[in-house]
Amino acid sequence: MKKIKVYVLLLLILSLLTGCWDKVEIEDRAFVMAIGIDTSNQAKNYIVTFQFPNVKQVTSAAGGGGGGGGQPNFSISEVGDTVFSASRHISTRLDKRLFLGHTKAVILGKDVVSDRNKFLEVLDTLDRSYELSRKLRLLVADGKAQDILLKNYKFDPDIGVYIDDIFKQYNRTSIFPNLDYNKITKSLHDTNGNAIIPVISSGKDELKIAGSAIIKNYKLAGWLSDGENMGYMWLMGFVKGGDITFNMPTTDGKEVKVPFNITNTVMKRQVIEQNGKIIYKIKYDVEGEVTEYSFQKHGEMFETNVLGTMEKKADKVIEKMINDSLKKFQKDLKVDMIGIGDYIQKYKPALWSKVGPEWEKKFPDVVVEPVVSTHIRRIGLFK
Amino acid sequence: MIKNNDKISENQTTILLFTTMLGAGILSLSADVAKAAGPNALIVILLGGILALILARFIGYIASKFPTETFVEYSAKLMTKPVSVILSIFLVAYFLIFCSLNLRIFAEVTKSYLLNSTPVEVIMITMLFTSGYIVRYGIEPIARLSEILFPIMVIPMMIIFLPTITDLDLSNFLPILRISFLNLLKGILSTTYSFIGFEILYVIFPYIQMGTKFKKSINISFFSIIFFYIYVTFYTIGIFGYKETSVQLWPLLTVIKSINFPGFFIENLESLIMGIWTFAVFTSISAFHYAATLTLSKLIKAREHTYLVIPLIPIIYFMALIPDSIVEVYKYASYASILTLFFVVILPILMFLAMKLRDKGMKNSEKN
Amino acid sequence: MGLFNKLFKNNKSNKNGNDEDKDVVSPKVKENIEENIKYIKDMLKDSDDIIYREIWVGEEFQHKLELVFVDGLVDKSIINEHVMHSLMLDSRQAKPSIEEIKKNIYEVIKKAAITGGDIKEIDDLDKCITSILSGDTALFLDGHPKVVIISSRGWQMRSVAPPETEMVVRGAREGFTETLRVNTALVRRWIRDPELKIKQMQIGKRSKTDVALLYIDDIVNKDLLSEIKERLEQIDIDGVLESGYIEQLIEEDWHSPFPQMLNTERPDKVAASVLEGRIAILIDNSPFALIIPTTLATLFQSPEDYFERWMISSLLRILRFTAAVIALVGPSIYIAFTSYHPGMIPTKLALYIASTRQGVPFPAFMEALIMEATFELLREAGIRLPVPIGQTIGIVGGLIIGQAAVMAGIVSPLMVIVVAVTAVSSFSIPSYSAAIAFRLLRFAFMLFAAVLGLYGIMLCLILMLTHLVVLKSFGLPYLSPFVEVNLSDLADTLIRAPLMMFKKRPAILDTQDKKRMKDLRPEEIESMEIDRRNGNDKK
Repeated sequence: MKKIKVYVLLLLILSLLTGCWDKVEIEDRAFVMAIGIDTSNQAKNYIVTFQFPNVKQVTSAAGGGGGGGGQPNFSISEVGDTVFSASRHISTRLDKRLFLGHTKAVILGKDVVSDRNKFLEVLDTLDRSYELSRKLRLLVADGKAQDILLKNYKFDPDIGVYIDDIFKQYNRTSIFPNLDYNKITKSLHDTNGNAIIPVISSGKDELKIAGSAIIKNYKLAGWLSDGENMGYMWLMGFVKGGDITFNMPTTDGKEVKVPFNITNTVMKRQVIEQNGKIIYKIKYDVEGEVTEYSFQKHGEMFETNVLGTMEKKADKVIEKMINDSLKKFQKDLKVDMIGIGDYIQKYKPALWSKVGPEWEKKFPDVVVEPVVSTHIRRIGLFK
Repeated sequence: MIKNNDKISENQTTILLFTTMLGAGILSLSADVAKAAGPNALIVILLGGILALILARFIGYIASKFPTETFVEYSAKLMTKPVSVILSIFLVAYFLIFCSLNLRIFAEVTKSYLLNSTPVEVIMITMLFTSGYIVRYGIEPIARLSEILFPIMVIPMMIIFLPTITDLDLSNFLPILRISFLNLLKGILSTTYSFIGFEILYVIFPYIQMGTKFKKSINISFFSIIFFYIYVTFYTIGIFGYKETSVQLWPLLTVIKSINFPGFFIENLESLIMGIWTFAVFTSISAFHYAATLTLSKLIKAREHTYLVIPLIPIIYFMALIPDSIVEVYKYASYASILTLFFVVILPILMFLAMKLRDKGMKNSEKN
Repeated sequence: MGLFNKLFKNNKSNKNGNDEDKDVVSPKVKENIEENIKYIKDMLKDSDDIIYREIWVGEEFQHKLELVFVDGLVDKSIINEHVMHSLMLDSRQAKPSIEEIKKNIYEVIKKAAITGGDIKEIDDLDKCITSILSGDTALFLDGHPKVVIISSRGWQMRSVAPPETEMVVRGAREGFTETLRVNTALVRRWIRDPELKIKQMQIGKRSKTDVALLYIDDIVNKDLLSEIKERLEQIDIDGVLESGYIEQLIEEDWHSPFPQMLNTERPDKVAASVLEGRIAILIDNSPFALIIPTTLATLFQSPEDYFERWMISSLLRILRFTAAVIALVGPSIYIAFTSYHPGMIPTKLALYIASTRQGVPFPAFMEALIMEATFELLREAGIRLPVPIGQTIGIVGGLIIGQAAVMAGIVSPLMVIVVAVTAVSSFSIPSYSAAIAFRLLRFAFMLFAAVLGLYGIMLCLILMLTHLVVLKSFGLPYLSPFVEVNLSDLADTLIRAPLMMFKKRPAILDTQDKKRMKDLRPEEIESMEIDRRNGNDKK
């Protein structure tokens, strides 16, 4: 009995040793950093572009031995019926195995987002993947994704990392939504196909992420410009930084442009039903600092009424931003992407059971009342 | 100090129960409850856990009346020999089914996340032999291993969620308790799969020291696992919202995928959690394996259970291979829940009645 | 397994055979001195280092005495001063009556003539021979069936030196030597308790090695004591050369790579263990004491932990446990991450590793194996070489070979770092035997990682832990107090709690006297402080 056991064990170990089914040495993998997906007009459905760094360059950049020269990264495109099959087909042309575990960004071409069925297909591929990270950045290209990926950029040739790093600077601008794939897919699931996705465009040798694409019912419905996007961010309560500019009339009758740098905001919401109308009140407490005024007027800032006027001006600017953006959603697109329905559902379930089933119709009639109170906390080094 | 009575202490019983219950179910738990109960998921887990606790206490109560006997023996006393044999066979089958289900789910998840081209067969066989290695030594090492693995499993799982606190949206749990009673009940039942494992109480009683303190052990282990499940589900639904959670196969892994642990040297945490989860599944598998082996050995009156460990391995293995796909695995799991209903609800009641009748009979005979 | 069993059975049958030998009765000391000396000379023939010194004493030199001792093992000055000088010269000045001397010369010699400190009498010739061979001097007296054994042991021995394998920054610098008596004395100096017992026995049919059991009688667990005695008595071997022999002969599981007894060269460690209720075994000719029972946690304790402040010690403890984990799984994690799960490595690092492994011809497993094997070789060579060269080899080998291997493109630089970190980690475990066990298991982990990646590592970890939970050291679970948890015991494992909290001896040892310290809570001390400050000092 014991001998049999020993033999079984030995056999097991031997059979294991012939295994190593999954072993792929790290240098034999192509670490895809960014994926671009476009539609194709040919027989196949998609053009998928993979961009991965030339690892030989990594060492030479790090000052190691004489790594191989050549370009810093490779981009390779393949057509396929599905995104998945494209990634498999590509291995017939590549001496490495594609590895998507480190992918930082997926860029969807404008035409993918415009086609509901294709967009759904692509989303499903991304959702089901074991390898792809949920932290990756999902972006919409203003044109073809391929065009963005096939260029070399001077700041960082590695597009995935480049995009990721831009997002890290998010707090300074608020002109694009800081959404990763996780949040976008959550929004799509929660609202049955509504979300906004940041937009990427490429300049001559740099990338720019600004504004966002509005997806309604899994389809591109419109775009938000930089300013509108900030309005949207206000509505969602996402603004944590960024700057606005307002005109400040001075004592001598002129106007000075004053930049206001937002450092923190707190949003409070409330829904009231009045005479069959739904009133959605949003109250903002905005904190920030003024970083420029006028050289001539040194000393004026210390008088409180100046600050008071400034705060009022800032309120107006922010309110306008919010209203512009609101108009876009309520009047043009007629889609609730600013979380009013969600709020009612969670906090006013009784009301929701009344209005929920036909929320699409009700939404444009909701009265939104934003109230902004700005607090200037710091004024720079001069009075 | 020099004791080798093959008995486990009260603390060990607590931890053994905990680790047996914590198994493959935790991956899909939040999806099930989110689907059934929406924002009330946490309440449902709490209620489901308490329900399971009551059932476990009931089983424990019956088993504690026969502190030196396993199910095979005391069921024979209570409900005649032939019935007992049939029930015991079913009990063995029951343990084997859950052992193999755990094994299969584990193999599928591991294949998906860690070893894409390794055959599931290899994953299952290696796991089973590892389990067989410890089961041969009996319950004491299983309990000790659980003790060692318990902090290794629980602490990282708790810590890993901490950086997501800022992403938590507590409004995902609103509105509270606007749910029909039927849905609530459904939700509670859907959580039961996650508490399966306490049935080992049917057979492990002769191996527990201090038989009377078992109540405390059961209580502590249930409340800790309820807390743990609530903790995990709280974060999962707090981050994803119940709609997103309910459509996912293994929301726990997906949510961990989305965690960005600042400054940590591991990029994708789900692989790390997969590793830790291996321990959780192993403790479940080995406990079921042991319970099945023990029951069977008592049934055929074998002198020691060790001889039966290896023969059971191929059985579990082939049972685990029956479902064709991961979809079928979960289908079979829901069928198996019917068995659970029998073993944790109906059987204890029947046995309780039988016990009362027997007591009465005894009293009557005493009078006569 | 079958093969081993056979071997084991053979061993047993040998033992039975030996038992029969023991039945031969050893000859008693005869009255006639010639017979005695002849017997000894027969037994010890062809041993030219034995010195037979015949002396005559008495007024008329009528009493024949014979001293037998081994040259080199005895302290000649003792024999000269305290035996021969006393017998031959000094005793003449004392004047007991002739009659008395005639009647009882033996008693007179024993009690009045020899000025040596430690004497005893025996009547068994074989025991007498053992004593002679141990360095004692045998004094035969014609006409008396007794031998006086004069303890004159004194040979060239190493003086007490710092324990080389267990250095500490703070703490005693004394280490054990090769002489049992010195070693027991070193422990005695730490514990002046009459309850400290030093129980001696001889093991080894031929080597007749002195083995001493050290324990405190009213603390130690008696079951444990009798268990150890029983196991020691069962040993039947020709020679015991080092405590390692004893260790391997009485341990429970010889399949295990883990040491089931702690060995130490430090008397303070032995003293501390004995005070905790453990039992120490000291062996002649070995500077390593064995401490029984041992658990995994004790292998991570260093005497210094208790001398330094508790926070520092706790930090060191955590560091050591971390080091053990690194020593165990370092290279296998590297293999698993690079060959199986590159997704787990941070992106930039992954790219860097990929680029440095560009052109490395071996898979990560072979790469790791080559480097680990090289390192083990260096370590082994470093031990064999004389100390100054050994260190050079370490540095030169490590640096040059590592650098050269990287330059040659056989291994990647990260691998060299991994191996180096692993090596350093394995040396920070205080117990050398435990460190070896971890180093050995590291290769198993590497193999598992090479086949099944991270899952393989987890499996191997489970297998190792299973082995550890099954393993016992003299009935004590090897992993206690992590298993069968006892909170007060946990205070001295991963952390070293303040000394204030060690009021009880380890509960796992189940000692007779459980209390170690009087209750003195920090609050009480504080309230005393406050009282004093307020001038409420009770006078």
